[in-house]
Amino acid sequence: MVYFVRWLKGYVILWICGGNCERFLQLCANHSIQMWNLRVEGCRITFRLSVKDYFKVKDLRRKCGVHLVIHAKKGMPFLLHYGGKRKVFLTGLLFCVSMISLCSLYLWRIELTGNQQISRNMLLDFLASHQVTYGTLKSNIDCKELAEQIRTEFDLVTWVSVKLSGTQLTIALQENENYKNDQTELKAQEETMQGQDIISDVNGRVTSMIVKTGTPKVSVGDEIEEGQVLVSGCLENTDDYGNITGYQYVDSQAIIEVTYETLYQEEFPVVYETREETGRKRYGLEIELFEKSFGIQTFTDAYEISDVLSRDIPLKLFEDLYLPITFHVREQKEYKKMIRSMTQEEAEKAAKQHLLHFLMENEEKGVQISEKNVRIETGVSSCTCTAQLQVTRLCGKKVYTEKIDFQQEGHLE
Amino acid sequence: MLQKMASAMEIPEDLSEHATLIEIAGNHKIRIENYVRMMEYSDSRLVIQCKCYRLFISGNAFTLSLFSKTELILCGNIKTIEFEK
Repeated sequence: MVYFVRWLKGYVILWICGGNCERFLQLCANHSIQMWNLRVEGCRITFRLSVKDYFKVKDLRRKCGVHLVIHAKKGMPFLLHYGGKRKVFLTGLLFCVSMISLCSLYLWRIELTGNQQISRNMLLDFLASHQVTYGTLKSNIDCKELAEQIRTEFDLVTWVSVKLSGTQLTIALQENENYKNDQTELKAQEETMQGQDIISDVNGRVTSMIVKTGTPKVSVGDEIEEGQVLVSGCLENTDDYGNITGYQYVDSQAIIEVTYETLYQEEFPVVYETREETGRKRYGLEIELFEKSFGIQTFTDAYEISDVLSRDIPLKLFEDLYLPITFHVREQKEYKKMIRSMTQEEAEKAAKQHLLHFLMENEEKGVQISEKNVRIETGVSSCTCTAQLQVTRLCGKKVYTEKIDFQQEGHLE
Repeated sequence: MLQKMASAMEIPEDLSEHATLIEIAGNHKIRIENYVRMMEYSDSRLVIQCKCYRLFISGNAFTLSLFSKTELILCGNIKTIEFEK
């Protein structure tokens, strides 16, 4: 702080030599002149003195017969004097500083973290509806209130933190991962009141069956057809004599495994089109200033087939003082179309890979494939892969139970 | 009499008797208050006249980081400090 005050007031670096230097320094001290950084350099002494005190030492110099030389002038008054000669530079400097100061009053970056189910656009739209967007005055943003509004608007947000640092607004939130499940459970509870059947979604044979709720309509080993009711959501209430006194509707729950045979068939062309890099590249730069873009190279008449990779570089000072300038560096790579033809081995390999991919996908879904007879036929233009698969998988689709009018049924009987 | 009063009132001697106050930080910095005058100064030696004695400081790379009427701060590699009546 002391050094800054000295710089602000301005000081001179002096050399003294000859005569009685110690006496001169002592006289200066006795006249309440403060000196600092006194160094002996050969036959001379270098020291620093404030501009105000410099004018006092002139008379003392004569008394001691020392030779006094100004080595350098430092500090704000001299800088202003220097700047006075270079008006354009000084104006530019002042303009630059004032622009940065002005820009630092506004919001220029919104950082969102922790959002998975709520998209960035949804949050930005929400913020915009609450007058928080790029270029908003920072003093108008109430972080506490904004956090409260986010919690109110988005039910699945369990925790939210809104922080304004520099010109950046950081919103960190945590979502309730079980929110969908909770909603599904609520829906299921509502549906239970109505009752649900489990029907078959495939033709096959039942290999295993565990019923939790509902009335089973088929048993293990039965052949079933698509759409057939496997478990009914209608439970009969009977009296002591076995007479039906009413019906109760429940949400059927059961684990039913079905085995069936299916045919896998895939045909793909052996002659195909591919892209290859030509090695030609071009770069472009787009400058976004106050949300308006100025392109130096925008690739309007660029290569016929190409990919563009874009990289955004926001301009910032220090850690988080973002400025309303963003550089978009674009790299464009040229490709050319190539028509290739597979050999028989390549086609067979590709067909096997496709089948393997299909099997792995099904395995992830819990489908067991026990038998397969694979046949690959490669023609001039296409390759066909057929396989006879024996599939064992969980079966069942829920539909609402058809309600039975108890009184009407009684009349019919 | 005055000495006794100051002692009874627990007034520090640098205030009551203008005794020289010397503050040493390691062997690289020394601060002297209430000195009378500087007798000699070079980059390896500093001689200070105090009220009752003379102070000799020797070493090397000496710099007076502050020099004013009441106070001086010497920085550098201090090797010896001697007092002479």
